[in-house]
Amino acid sequence: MSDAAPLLRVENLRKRFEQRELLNIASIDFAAGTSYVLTGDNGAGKTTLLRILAGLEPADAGVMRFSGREIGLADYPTWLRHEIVYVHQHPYLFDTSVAENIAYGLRMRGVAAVHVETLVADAMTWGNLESLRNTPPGNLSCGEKQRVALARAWILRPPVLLFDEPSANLDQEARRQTSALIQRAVDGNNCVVVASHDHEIINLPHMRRLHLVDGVIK
Amino acid sequence: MNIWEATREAFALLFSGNAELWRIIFISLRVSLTALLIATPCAILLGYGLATFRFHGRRALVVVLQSMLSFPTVVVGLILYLLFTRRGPLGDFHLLFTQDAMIIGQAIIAFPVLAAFTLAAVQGADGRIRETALSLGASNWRAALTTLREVRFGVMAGVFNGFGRVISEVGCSMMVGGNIADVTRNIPTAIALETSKGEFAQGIALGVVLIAVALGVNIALSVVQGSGGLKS
Amino acid sequence: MRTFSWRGALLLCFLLAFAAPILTAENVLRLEMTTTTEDSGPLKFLLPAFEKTKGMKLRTTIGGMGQMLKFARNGDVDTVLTHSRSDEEKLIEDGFGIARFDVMYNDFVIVLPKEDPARIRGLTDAKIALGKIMQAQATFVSRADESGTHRAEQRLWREAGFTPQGSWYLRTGSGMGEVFANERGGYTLTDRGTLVQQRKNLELELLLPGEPKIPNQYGVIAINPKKYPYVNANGAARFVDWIVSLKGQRHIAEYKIDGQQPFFPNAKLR
Repeated sequence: MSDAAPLLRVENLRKRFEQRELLNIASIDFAAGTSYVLTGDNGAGKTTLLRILAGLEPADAGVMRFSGREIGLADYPTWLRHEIVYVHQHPYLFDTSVAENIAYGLRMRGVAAVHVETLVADAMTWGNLESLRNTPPGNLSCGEKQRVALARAWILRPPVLLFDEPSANLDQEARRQTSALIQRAVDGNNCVVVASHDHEIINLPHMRRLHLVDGVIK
Repeated sequence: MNIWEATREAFALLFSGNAELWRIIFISLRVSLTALLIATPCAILLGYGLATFRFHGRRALVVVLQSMLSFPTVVVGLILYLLFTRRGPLGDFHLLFTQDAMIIGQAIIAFPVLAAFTLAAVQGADGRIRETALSLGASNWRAALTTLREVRFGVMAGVFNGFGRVISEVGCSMMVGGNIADVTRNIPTAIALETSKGEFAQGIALGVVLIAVALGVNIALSVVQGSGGLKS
Repeated sequence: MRTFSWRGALLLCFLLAFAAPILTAENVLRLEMTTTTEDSGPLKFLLPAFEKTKGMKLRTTIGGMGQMLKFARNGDVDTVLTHSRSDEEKLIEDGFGIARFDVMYNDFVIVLPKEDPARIRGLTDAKIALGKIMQAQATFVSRADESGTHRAEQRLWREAGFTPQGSWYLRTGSGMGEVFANERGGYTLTDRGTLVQQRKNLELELLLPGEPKIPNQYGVIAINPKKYPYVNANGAARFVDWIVSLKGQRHIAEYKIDGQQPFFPNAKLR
């Protein structure tokens, strides 16, 4: 395993904001079939790292490789977005329906309508969302929104899933449900990276821990 | 003549089934709605682009766009007149004093309103909308459509405003349309004519007609817009 | 305390500067004229001369004939300078004006496009020309706005015994008859003052002035203070007296555009 090229590798990644150094990472490898939990205090750079990996924010310097292919961080390629999917800490749900939100990525990938229907039904079962099928997203609780967002990303089965603080600000029951979903999202072939300081998630089995302190991996 | 007499006369005219009146209403609607149809897609794209992308000269463009909101319609008419007159650079197209010229003028007048409202709506939109769309695999183009759909109320406010501006403008229509009976006479130029003739009651009556027409169009647009769910 | 904002103060100053009360003078006379009168230039020569000699300030309203007559009937102005005799006489008859005086005249002319599809070039009688235009169904632009010019045109058709109708008879309510005729290669009726003023912008020819002329008589009326006690009757009287005086009449006669005299004074000197 260790001889093969890692699924995702980052080298010499640097990111500054004004005078402050947000990230300074010599090297991290993310292997296929392994899942990671990214810990660290608020402001340690967890969110910034995930957003750079997702191509939502540029890095000042650094190289990223996906399956050995070098990616220019200044010009994030569109094809990579089909491989790496990011979920916000407080996810935004489109003003449509729960089912349409979950179907969004499939539609963007041009999946035929018949397949979309079965895949969405499947993802609703996965996320325990069947009862919410026709609820307007505005009427969902925070925990329910988070589950919709996780299902919306999971349905795409990308090689890399990035979850940013998925259980923050949730009540006990919602946190339990969320971490259960994250555990189910790890299927042994993909690579799930979760930023969190929630022990429910940190203590999930088979999670490798990466600890960030002031933008540096310890 | 007092305002009550004028209003009474207005309603009498409205319910008399006057063919010329209906022709004027038809011309008004045809010109203004066509102009909106032409201006809206480009204006929305420009507004979205200005709100979303950072590029050189962006701020200058925004300022120009916002100043164009106070561009007098008659000046738009004058500029078009100079282009369309027989001796002008576009004189060979014989556009002057046609409905097409009025449509072009009104599209120009509506454009900054539509673009500025879209700009404000998209700028005020939640930044996560576009990021979510992109991360779920949307192209830039699809992400734009998704964002615009999410802020459709702000964009539609621009359409309502743009419609209000063109359906009621008189300066440009008069200048490039020429207020020809049954050809380029719309409600505002008809009002201007009645006023200059001293037929104030007719003018008020047409004003009431204009308001009724605007009400009808706004109701239709509201139906198109639909009702949105609660925003989180 | 941070309640004071420089930006706010600046904005306030800005607004105040523009909201400053408009100065009101005692000697303000409200005069109204029709658009045609304004088009042919008297504002530029006659009115400043009056203001200078009499030390009065004129506030001139310009608009369509009907609108101006309505304003006069509502006492919104002090004195009126128009060119539709029948309407003016009606104003006196109904008691809104004190008296009407001739001031000046010129004549209406038919202008023709270069192409001259109805072949009226060289004709001298306007009525025969109208008949040929109608026969040829050549574009004729009517102002159709009840202005003095439009009234004269209607009278001319009537006297010639025709009723113009059809797509060739273009009714434009825009007060831009000459511009229209120029664009569309059509015929139209206009007054010589306007034509002289706009000549340089037009490619139209003048139908050679012949007999009988189509007169365009301008009259002045002071609004009756018995109807509206608040009108500036004194100022109106001074304006009327001045414009029909030798001095005022001379100003009219001396005014020329490109060497052509647009107006001929014809007040009966008292």
